Amino acid sequence: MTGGGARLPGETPAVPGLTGRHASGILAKTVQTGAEFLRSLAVPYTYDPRRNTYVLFGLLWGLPIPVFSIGLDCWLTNGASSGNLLAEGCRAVLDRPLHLFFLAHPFLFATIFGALGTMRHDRDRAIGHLIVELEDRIRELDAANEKLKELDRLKSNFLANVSHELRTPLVSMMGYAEMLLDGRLGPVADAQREAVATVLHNAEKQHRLISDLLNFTRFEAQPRLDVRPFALREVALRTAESFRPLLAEKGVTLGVPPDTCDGRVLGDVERIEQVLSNLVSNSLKFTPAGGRIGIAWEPGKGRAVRVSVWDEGRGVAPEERARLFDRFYTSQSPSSSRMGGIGLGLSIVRDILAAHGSAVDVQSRPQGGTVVSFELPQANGELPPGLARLRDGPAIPAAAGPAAVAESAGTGGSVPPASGTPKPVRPETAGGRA
Amino acid sequence: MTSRTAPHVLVVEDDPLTRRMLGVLLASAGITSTTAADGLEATSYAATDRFDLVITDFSMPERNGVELIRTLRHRLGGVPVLMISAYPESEIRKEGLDDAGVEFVAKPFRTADLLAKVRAALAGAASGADAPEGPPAGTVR
Repeated sequence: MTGGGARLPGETPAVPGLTGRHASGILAKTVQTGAEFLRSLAVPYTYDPRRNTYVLFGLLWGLPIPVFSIGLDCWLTNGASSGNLLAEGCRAVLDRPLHLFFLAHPFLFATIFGALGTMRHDRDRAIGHLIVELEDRIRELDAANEKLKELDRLKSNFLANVSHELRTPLVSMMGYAEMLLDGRLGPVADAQREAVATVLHNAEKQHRLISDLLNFTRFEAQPRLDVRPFALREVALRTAESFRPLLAEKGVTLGVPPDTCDGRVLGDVERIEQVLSNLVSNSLKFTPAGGRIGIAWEPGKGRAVRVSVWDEGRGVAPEERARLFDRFYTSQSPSSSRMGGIGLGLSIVRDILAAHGSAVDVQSRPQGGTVVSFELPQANGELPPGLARLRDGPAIPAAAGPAAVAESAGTGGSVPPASGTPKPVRPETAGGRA
Repeated sequence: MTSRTAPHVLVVEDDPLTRRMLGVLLASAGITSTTAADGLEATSYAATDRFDLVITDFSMPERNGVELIRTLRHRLGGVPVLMISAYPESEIRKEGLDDAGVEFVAKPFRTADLLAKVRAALAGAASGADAPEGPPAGTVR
């Protein structure tokens, strides 16, 4: 039976190699080899020099059969040899035609061995072709790889240069605007102040867009993480601080849990700050004046901390939820077409969190608005495999981390040591307009 | 030594508008500065004058910020350095920067942040721990 049979319940699994699947494989192989053998038989003897050695080998292999049979016949008939072995042999053959059958054996063996030789030669040649082809492919791939590396290097250079060139004009723009607003360059009338504030605001917006685009491309090219323990609270406060002017302008408050809970987690502090910043930025787009946004954390599954950013915006339609984190996706509703954005913020969030081994969860709040949440391992917990791999890879050297990382990673300083599981806390308002 | 009551900052920046802006910003905060357009010019200033702080760009013609810092370390000892650049910090560190006394400020920066760092660096330099022949403590502040 060669068919792959359905096993009866309780039947012991078949020995590997003797299952129906295997047996049919062996049969197919046998048929294939047989066909190859027959094909080889049809090839003329002069097919190749190697085959001749096989033919000779077959001749020699088969020679003892007629020699033995005829010799035995002669010995039994005559008892002792007359001296002329050849004449005696010929007579024996003529006496008993059965010897012709034995005489044919060397030739039969020569044919069979010859065919086997041809098969072997054909296979060797096929393997030789494959090896040559393989080497060609390897060379092609090497060349393509080199080309890609070169392109990647060019791309990195290009990005670094574009980033530099796009940011440089903003430096003096924003610097002068801030100096004007601070009154460092003389008194400023209210109307002028408003004008300069608009210039500054839009320069900042431009800066954020450039950073988004560059962070996205850079992270996509080299998703490396600098994983260390850090306090979520510090990152959340920094995020809140950076949004203070925007929050004030829109009349939205941003809540960060009070300092009873640090939320010590493991991750790339810079990337997580980017995640929070992108999520808050997105929430801010959809939260009306007077609304609230919050960053919160609580114990998650196992040894994880669940971080969430909630808002009181218009919420996310279920059909929109799936596409929300797609690259270049922007909300299609007419009310949000004025929201701006290039559809990268949330895809960056998704990529960074995926690199941290975490998924992003979007839920609607019953009281309106949205909660976006994700999980990070506790600072004293184990790294998820993906995170460990990224960390152990050729990552940025530890010294390359920004000062903020060093501060929060240290045991001393303003960060108290890990305090076990963080408790869920009610958000308090921080930042925003009074 | 009483002549050195005001801190003196060397600003090295190749973009003329940014260079001028930095000069104006420091002047508005009451800090004297000398501006240089590239590493060579900065080196020549450092040969004749002493500075309490160097603010330098990273990407410049002739000599980049990291090379400049190496040169200036010989002339100015452990002078604190603020490196301002639109390039990411990690890129700059690839140049093999010995980062003792070097702080990074990303461009574009908040003027308030930059001034805070400048003041902190000047205060640190004034404490005189790393200035071999610096001014007596207390004269700068």
